[in-house]
Amino acid sequence: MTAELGQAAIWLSILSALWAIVFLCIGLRQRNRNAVQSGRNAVIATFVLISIATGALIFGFVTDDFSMRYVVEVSSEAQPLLYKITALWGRMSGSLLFWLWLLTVAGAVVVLQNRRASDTLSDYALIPITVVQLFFIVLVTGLIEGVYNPLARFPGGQAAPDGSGMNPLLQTPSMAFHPPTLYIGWISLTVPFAYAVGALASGRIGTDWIYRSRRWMLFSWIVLTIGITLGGNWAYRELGWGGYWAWDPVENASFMPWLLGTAYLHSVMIQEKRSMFKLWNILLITLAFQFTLLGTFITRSGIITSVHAFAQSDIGGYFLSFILASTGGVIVLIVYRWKRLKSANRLESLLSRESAFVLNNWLLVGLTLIILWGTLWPIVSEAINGQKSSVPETFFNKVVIIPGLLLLFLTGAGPIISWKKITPNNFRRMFLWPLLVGLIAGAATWLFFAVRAHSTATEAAAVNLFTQVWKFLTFSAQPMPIYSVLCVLVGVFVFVAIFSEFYRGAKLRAKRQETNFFEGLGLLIQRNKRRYGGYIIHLGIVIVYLGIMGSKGYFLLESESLKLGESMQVGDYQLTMKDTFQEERENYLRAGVVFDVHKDGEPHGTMEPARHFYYKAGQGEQDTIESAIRHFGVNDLYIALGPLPSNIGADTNVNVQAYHNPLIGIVWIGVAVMVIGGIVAIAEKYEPKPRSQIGG
Amino acid sequence: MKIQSLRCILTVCVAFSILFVCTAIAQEQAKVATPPKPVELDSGLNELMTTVYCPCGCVRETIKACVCATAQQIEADFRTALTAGGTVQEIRTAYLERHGPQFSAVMPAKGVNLLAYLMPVGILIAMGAVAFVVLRRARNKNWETLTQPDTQISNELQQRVESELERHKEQS
Repeated sequence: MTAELGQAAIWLSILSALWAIVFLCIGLRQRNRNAVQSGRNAVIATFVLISIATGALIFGFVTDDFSMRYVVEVSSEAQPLLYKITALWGRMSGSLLFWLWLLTVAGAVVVLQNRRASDTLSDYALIPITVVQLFFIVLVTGLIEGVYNPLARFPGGQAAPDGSGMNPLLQTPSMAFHPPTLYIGWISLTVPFAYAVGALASGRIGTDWIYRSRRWMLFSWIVLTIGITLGGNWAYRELGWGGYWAWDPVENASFMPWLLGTAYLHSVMIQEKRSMFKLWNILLITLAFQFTLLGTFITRSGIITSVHAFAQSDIGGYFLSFILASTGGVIVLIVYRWKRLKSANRLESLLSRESAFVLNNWLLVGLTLIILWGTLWPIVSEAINGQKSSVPETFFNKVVIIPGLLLLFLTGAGPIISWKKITPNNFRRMFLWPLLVGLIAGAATWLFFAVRAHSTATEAAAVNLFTQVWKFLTFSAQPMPIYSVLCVLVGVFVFVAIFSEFYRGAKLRAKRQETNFFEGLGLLIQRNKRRYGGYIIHLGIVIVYLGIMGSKGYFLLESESLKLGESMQVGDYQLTMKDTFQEERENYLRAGVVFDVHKDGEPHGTMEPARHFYYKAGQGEQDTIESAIRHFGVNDLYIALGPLPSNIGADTNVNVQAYHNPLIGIVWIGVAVMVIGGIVAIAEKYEPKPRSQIGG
Repeated sequence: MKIQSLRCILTVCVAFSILFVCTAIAQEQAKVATPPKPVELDSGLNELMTTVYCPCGCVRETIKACVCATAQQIEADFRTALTAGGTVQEIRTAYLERHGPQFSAVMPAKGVNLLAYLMPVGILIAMGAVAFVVLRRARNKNWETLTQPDTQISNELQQRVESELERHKEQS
C-alpha cells in the first residue's frame, strides 16, 4: 500500500510543480500577491509529496518488501539496516528520487527563508528550481525509457523471496555519506543558478542576487569539498590500489563543478566590491550548474568507462537535452538583458587584485576545460581514428601540473595584492618576505632531494669538485624533482603571505582594542569572517598540495606472493605473514591475514588486511578488498590482498601488495582546514535590505 | 628601504652558502653509500607493469596496482618474456595487440594523441587571450560613459550612500 501511496505522490507532484511554475509566472507578471503565494505553497506541496514518495521507498527497504522491483535489486533481508537505507541511492531510479527529494528540500528552504519578505527575486528564483524539479519528477515516473519508477511493483502481485543485495563496494560507511554529500553539493548549486536566472528575468542584475545566493554557494562548495574527499577516502580504503584520486571520469565530473564554483566565489567579489564582471558571474554560475548535470550525464550514460559503472543507463540523452535547453534559456535571457550586464566601473590597473581574480578565473575555468577535454578524449579519439583508448592518470598529471602551480601561487598573491592598483611600496611590503622564505624553502627542498638521489646513485664519483657539485645539484642521471621543488617554494610563499596577513591584522586589531595578540586575532576573524575564512581555506589548499606532492610523487609499492612465516619489505617496513583468519559477519564472511609489522627492526604491532565475501550480491557471491592501513604520523603503510579462497588456510599462497604513502595524512588534514575555513566564511551574516513590495 | 634591501641580499647569500656547504657534506656522505643490486630485469618488469592496464575488469588499474589473479599471471608472463630476451617495447606491443589499445596506461604524445596534449595548451592560451582582452577592455573603458546615471547604477550608489551614512552614525 505504501508503494502505491508513493507512486501517487510522484504523479501528484507533477501537478504541484506545474502549479508552482504557472502561478509564480502569473503572479510575478501581474504583480498578484495571492498568485505568488499560491505558487510558493505549491513548492512546499511538491516537497511534501516527494518526501512521501521517498519515505515510502525507505519503508519498503526497512520492511523488506520484495514485491518492489527496486528493493529486490539493491537490498536483501540480511543487509544491515544502515545499508538498507543507503540503498536508496544504490542504483539509478532510487538515486534520481533522492536527488529530486533534495531539490524539493532546497525549494522549500528558499520559500521558508523568504516567507516574511515580499521578495520578488526569490520568487523569480523559485521558477528555475521548480523547472529542474519537474525534469527529475518526469524521470522518476517511469514514463521514459531507461529508468523505471523506484516504487513500481512486479507485475501480477509477484514478490521475490529475497533481494539481490546492494553492490558490496557500496556497503561501507564512506558510501553511506559520500553520495549524499555530493548530491547535496550539486543540488545546492542549483539555488545560486536559479537566483542568477531570477536576476536576469526580473532585471535586478545588481549585487542583490549575489548576496542572496552567497551562502548557498559557500554551502555547496563546503559540501562538495567534503563529498569529493569522502569519495577519495572510499577509493583509498575499498579499491585496494593505494590511491585516492585517479582522474576517473566520475571523479572529474564531481571536481569540475567544484572548480567552477571556486572561480565563481572569487569573481563575485569583484562584482560586490567594484560592480564589474556581471555577465561573467552569470555565465560562471550557469556553467557550474550545467557541469553538475554534465557530471550526471557522464555517470549515467555510460559513454565513458568508469569505476562507477553500476550507475549506467540510457537516460544520458535526456540530461544532455536538458543541459542544452536550459543553457539556451539562459542565453536568451542574457541577450534580453545585455545592456544591464555592462560593468559599472573600470579597471584602474592591470596590477591589482581585480586582475589577480581574473587570472584566478582564467586558470580555474581553463583547468575545468582541460579536465573536460581529457575526460571526453576517448570519445574524440574514437571518432578520429576509430580506436578505443583510455586516458591514463599520467596524462592528467602532466597537463594540470603547471596551471595547478600557477593557481597555487595566486592563492597567496591574490590576498596580499591591493584592490585597484598595486604600488611598488605595497609590492615590496607584501611580497618580499613571502618570496624570500619561499625561495629558501625551495632551495632546501632541492638539497633534500639531491642528497636522497645522490645517496642511491650508482655512478662513481666525478672527477673534480665542480663537476661533482654540478652532478649533485642536477641529480646526474635521475629525473629532477622540479615540480616538488616548485610546489614547496610556492606553498611556503603562500603560507608566509597568508600568515603575515593574519599577523598584521591581528597586531593592528590588538593595538586598537588595547588587548593581546590572540584576542586581536579572534576579533579580526570575528569581524571579517568571510575574508579570513577564505584565507584559512587557502592555507588548507597549500596543505593539500603538499600532501598530493608527497603521496602521488613518492609512494612505494611492493608486490609479493607470501606463505605463513614469510616476509616482505616496503621502504623501511618489514611485513611478516603471521596468521590467517576467518570471521562470520552479518551478511558476509571476512577472511584475511595477520601481518607483523617492523620498522627499522622495531615491532609496530600487527595489521589485518582482508577480503569480504558477500553471500547475497548481484548474481552470486562477490568479494571486496578490505585494505589495512596503519598511520605513521602523516605517512601510511597500506596493505591489500589479492584473491583468496574464502576457506583460507595456513598453506594458502597470498598475493600481497604493500604501499608506503608519504604525507597522505596531510591531504585529509588540509581538506579539514579548508572545511573549517568554509564554515568560518559562511558564518558571516547578510542582512537583506528592505525590498520592493509586490503590488496587488 | 636600503637596509631592507641589504638584509634581503644578505639572507639570499646566507641561504646559498648553506646550500653549498650542505652539498659538500652530502657529497662526502654519498661516497660511502652502498652500491645497489643489478636492476635491469626488475626495472623492465616494473616499466611493463606500470604502463599497461589489467584486463581483469578492474577499471584503469595497472598490472602493478591490480591485486587480482589475472595481474599475477600477466606479471609472470612478462617476467618469462623478459628473461627470454624480449624487449619492453616488444612485449608491450604484443600485449596491446592482444587486448586492445585502451589497455595502454601511457599516452605518448604521438599521432592523434598529440592533439590531446596540445589542446590543453590551446585552451589555456585561448582562455588567457580572453582574460587579457577582458582586462584591457575593462582598463580602457571610458569613465564618463560608465558613470552616466541609470537605474542600476543609482541603486548601487544609493546603497553606498546608505552604508556611508551608517558608518558615520556609528562613528558619531
